[in-house]
Amino acid sequence: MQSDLITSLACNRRTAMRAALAWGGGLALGGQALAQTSRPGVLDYTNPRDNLYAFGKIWSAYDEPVIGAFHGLMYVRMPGKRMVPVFGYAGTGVLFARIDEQGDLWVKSRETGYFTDLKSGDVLERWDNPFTGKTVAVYHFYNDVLSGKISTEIPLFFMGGASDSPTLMNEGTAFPDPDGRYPFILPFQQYGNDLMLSWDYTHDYANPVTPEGWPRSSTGARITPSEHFTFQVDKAELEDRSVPSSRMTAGFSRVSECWPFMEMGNTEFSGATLFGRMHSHKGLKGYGDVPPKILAYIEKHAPEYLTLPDGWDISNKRIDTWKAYAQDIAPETPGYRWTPSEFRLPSGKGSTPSA
Amino acid sequence: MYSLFVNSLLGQQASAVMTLRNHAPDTLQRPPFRSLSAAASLDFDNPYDNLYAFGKIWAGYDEPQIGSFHGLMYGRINDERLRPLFGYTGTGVMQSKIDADGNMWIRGKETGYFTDLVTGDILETWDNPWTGQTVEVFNFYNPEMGGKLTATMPLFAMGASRDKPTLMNEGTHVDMDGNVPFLLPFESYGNDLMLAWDYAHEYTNPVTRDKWPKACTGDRISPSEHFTFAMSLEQMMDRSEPACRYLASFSRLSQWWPWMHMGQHQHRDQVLFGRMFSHKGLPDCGDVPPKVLAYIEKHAPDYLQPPDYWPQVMPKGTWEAYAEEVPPEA
Repeated sequence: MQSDLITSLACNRRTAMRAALAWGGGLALGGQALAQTSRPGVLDYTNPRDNLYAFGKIWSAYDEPVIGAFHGLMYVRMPGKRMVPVFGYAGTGVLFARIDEQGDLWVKSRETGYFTDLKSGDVLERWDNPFTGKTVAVYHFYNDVLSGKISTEIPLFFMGGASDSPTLMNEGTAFPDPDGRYPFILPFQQYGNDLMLSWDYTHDYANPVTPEGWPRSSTGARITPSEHFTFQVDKAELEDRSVPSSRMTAGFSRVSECWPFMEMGNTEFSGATLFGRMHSHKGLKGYGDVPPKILAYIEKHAPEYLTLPDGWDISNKRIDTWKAYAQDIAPETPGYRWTPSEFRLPSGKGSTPSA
Repeated sequence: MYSLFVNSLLGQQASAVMTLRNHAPDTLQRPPFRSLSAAASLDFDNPYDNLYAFGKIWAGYDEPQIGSFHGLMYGRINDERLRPLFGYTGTGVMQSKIDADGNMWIRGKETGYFTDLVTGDILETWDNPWTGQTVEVFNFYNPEMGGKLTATMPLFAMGASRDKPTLMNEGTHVDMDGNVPFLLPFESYGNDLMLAWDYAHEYTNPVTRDKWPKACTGDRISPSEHFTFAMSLEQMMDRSEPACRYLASFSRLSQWWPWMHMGQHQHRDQVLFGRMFSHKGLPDCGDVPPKVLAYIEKHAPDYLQPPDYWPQVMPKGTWEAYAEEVPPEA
């Protein structure tokens, strides 16, 4: 899940694209502006540096890594039809952040994503597609490491190919200043002692799982995955700089085409919408935020995904689920040009040579 | 928003399913409650305790609770990037009670507004970027909502009599040989209690093409709403507390709103998606966005109090309200 954001930061081509992205509207905070405080030591929510600090503390942790989780339900939506629950969706993120000497925020994480049986909650290895009638192997998402830097402007995410337009993080709640720049000011809101923050990214890019190479897995030439978080944190905890991480609970929703492993390509269902609504949370000690069945699965199949590698000089090779799939899963079309990835999938589709 | 749920209760076809007080709870696939080390005052495998919990989350037992939602709505057209369209916000003033049979009653009033993305001001007109037309925004007011929930999971009868009802929480429900008890998918992490609540409808569009050709997106509509609640487990377990503070995510998918006038456009049957916060539990109107509160106080102050009786009313969602209140297009 998180990979759509963080991996993109490393390939940020902001400067070249800034002018092209500026659009109308004056500088304003989306929704209800957070009440300002003049007390020393607390956060100034109009200051991009303080927003960076807050974002790292909400999403991640500064002193030592934390492990968060998401878990919920996914539906398939056909036009005019009732949505159909298809499987659970759950996973983890090991998260770590730091502020460098320039005041920029660095984030690093390692992620998993699994699909689960609606009744038992067990991680699925195969899934009976109720639309096509086929049983398909489930592709689990593993991202061994992501890292990136966020500075004092709202990031642009460069997904897909060179001809694709980048995604402005928080389009809809981020607005340009008079110079056309998007300062890293987030749409915080306060109700009582609860601080709320939304975070959105809505992509549109060339599908790495091409119709020519993967006609069963590809839903088309373009994909438009979007992810949306509504965070809730304790304001006092966030503003206490002696606390390295905030307890965070959130709603996590996403809308996209169907996952490649569902093999909806070249069917009457290829244009279906996949929707997910999940809980997301982090901040408990140890593995306290991880659903027990997910934790047991990771401990058995991929225990290294409960840790983070050292260092920050890391190249991001697995950008998003579709790109990872195109790297890990051999083309369905014989003779389609493809170079196998050296990445070793711990489990699921693609984890063995015969899969 | 809330009306899709509560107003449907009176139309539920509960005779199709049975109350299941005597089913053994150990047959359920329930997530663990790792935090329940103290003497638990609620049994989450008991439908009646689930009713109590739901009423405490969604409403309040002693005094009415006024909650709100606020967030963003997007248009999704085929394989194009989601497009932010407007803010979506509103209120629900809700009260609940448990009757002598252990059933839970709920009553309330609701509002729903659309707001400018930049200013947060409530919109009276909206410039539709696809049709190029400026349309009048239809604010949603529901003056009377209420019904009774029993130990059986509700079925929501929306649309026409021939439409198949919606099972609340399809996907997380517990099916016992065709019977669905009122057991909710509670989970606990630390002291946080979490709950998901979903309803995915499909029914005959009350905004019919023959009368509202500009507003009608098609013969059928399939709105769905999804909540992921987080609250204090300790507060929930304390029966001396009449209501829970909750923080939730509220997401929804549907056809375009009727007032958007997409009925004649090539993209008339695409996806409207919203992601909002939802919360209640602060004193008075503390959970209501200031601009929304000011608007209600000016235009609809009655919507800050629930009805003074326990209504049993017919379903009335946004599309039903539009068909009732907006005259057919000439």
